Amino acid sequence: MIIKGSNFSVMDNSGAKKVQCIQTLGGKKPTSLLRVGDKIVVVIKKMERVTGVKLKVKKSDVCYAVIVKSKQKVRRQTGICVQAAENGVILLNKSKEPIGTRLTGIVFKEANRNSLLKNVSISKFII
Amino acid sequence: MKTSLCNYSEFKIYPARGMKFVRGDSKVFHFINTKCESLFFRKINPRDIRWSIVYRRIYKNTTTDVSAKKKARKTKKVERNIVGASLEVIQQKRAQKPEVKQAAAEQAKREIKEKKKAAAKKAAPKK
Repeated sequence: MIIKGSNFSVMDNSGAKKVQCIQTLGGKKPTSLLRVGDKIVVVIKKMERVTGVKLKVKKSDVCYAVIVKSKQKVRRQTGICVQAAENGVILLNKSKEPIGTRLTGIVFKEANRNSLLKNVSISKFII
Repeated sequence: MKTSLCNYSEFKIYPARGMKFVRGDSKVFHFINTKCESLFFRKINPRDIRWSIVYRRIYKNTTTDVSAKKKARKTKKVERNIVGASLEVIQQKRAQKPEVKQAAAEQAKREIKEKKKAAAKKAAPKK
């Protein structure tokens, strides 16, 4: 179950590690159940330890995000189910484009609605 | 048809079958059915389960899977009678001993030489 208040791990190289959902978007209620591909507002709770690189985000920043994988099974029309061990997001900027340039973990196909991952190198991380 | 192997039982998975699970370290597992999936989540080793191919391979219940190579086609020789030589004559000639063959060949050569000599004798006085 993904709702307002649930925690996510970040699957890109923006520098954030853990985020929390503080608002749902797209006409969804805070208690309505979210799924892969939905956009949300998150606050950054934990950063990765990186030295010597200037990052685009910092701790306690508020930004947009899109859900890319879920613990809940995602059923596809081809007949198979996909499931992850944790919930994950990718951070977006104000114009709702990805902040990072590279993925660091596996992402579901369903996250790529509206060709959102166009500028992200996705080659081996998409299933 | 593109098939993959089950990560638990090592059965063949055809399209529109099975489910995928993504672990925390972004390794993907592919299971053929919920039976395999639930055994995997209970952390039961497939070596202890008698129907799994891992077990059967250890205790040698399976036949060794031989990769059947395609044999190259061999051209078959069929003996037939040709114009002027029936099948029996050909077989007789083939069965002859080499000494007899040599003798016959020498005789033939001699005959040709004699013919040439005779022809030369006839042609010479005309000059």
